[in-house]
Amino acid sequence: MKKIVRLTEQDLVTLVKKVIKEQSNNFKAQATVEGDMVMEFPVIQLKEWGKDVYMEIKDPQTGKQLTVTNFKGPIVFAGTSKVQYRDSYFSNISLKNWNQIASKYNIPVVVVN
Amino acid sequence: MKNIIIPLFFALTSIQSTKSIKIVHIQPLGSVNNNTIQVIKKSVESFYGFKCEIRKEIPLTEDILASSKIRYEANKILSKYKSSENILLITEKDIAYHDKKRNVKEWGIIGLGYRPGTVCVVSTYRIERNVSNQRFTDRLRKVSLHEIGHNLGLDHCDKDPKCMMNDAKGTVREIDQEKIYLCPNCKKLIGIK
Repeated sequence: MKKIVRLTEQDLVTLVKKVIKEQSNNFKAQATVEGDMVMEFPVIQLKEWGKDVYMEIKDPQTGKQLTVTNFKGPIVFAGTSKVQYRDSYFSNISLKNWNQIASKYNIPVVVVN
Repeated sequence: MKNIIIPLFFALTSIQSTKSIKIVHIQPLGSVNNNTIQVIKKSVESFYGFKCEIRKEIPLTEDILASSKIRYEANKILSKYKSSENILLITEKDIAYHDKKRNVKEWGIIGLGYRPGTVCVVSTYRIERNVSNQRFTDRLRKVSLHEIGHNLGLDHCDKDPKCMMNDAKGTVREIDQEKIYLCPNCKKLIGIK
C-alpha cells in the first residue's frame, strides 16, 4: 500500500535546497594528462598537509581512487602510490583557488596536522 | 560487493564502443592541404570503420593563440570546439600545451584529445619537418588514430611497444616505432576485431 506524504512549503524549500546542493557537488577537475589527453576527474576530497595539498580523485575510466599532489605531476593510486598517469597539469583547480572550489562545490577538506 | 560493482560500472560506461560512433567530422583549422585531409579520412574510415565528413575550413582566431602569439594553444582549441559530435580538428600550424606551473610556457605538441570524449586536435607542424612524404603520411595516420583512440576512452598502452596507443613521451621518434595497429587488449576495450 502506497503511503501519501503531503509536503509543506518549508519541506519543498528544504528539498529544493538539498537537490541544488547535491547537484553543485559535481565538480570535475580537468587535467592534461601525459601530454596528449584531456581528462575530467570527479573530486572525492582534498587533504591539506603542511604546505602540500593532496587531491583525491576518481579515475573516470576505472572508478579507482587516485591522488595527485599540488595539482600537477604524477597521478598515483591512492592505496599503493603506484603511478597511474606519469604526468598531469590541472587547469581548473590550483594551489591558488582550491579553497574556493572546495567551498563552492561542497568538496570535503581534511587538514592533517 | 559494492567495491566490485562500482569500478566495473565505470569501466563499462566510459569506454566507447566503436559501434557507438557513426560519423567523424574532419574540421580543417586554417588552410590544410587536401592530401592531408584525405589521408586522415581514409585512415579513420578503414581502421575504425567510421564514416568521415569533411567540413569547410574555418579560420584560426586570436582567442586560441598561446601567450607567445606564434603558436596555438591546444587546450583552448578543444574548449572552443567542444561538441557532442565527433570532431577531429586538423591544422598545419604549431600547437602547444601551456604549463605555467612547471615553468614550461609552451610545450609544442602534435595532438591532444579528450579521454573519453568527442573532440581531438592534430597538428602536422612537427611531424612533417625534414621527412619524406611517406614518413609524414605514416605519422599523420598514427597520430590521428591515436587521438581518436583517446576519444574512445583508450589510455596509453604499455602492453605492446608496437601498439599505436603507446605514449609518445613528447618525441616524434616514439611514433615512428609504432605500427598502425592496436594491440589485442586495446582492441578488446573498444570492441573491434
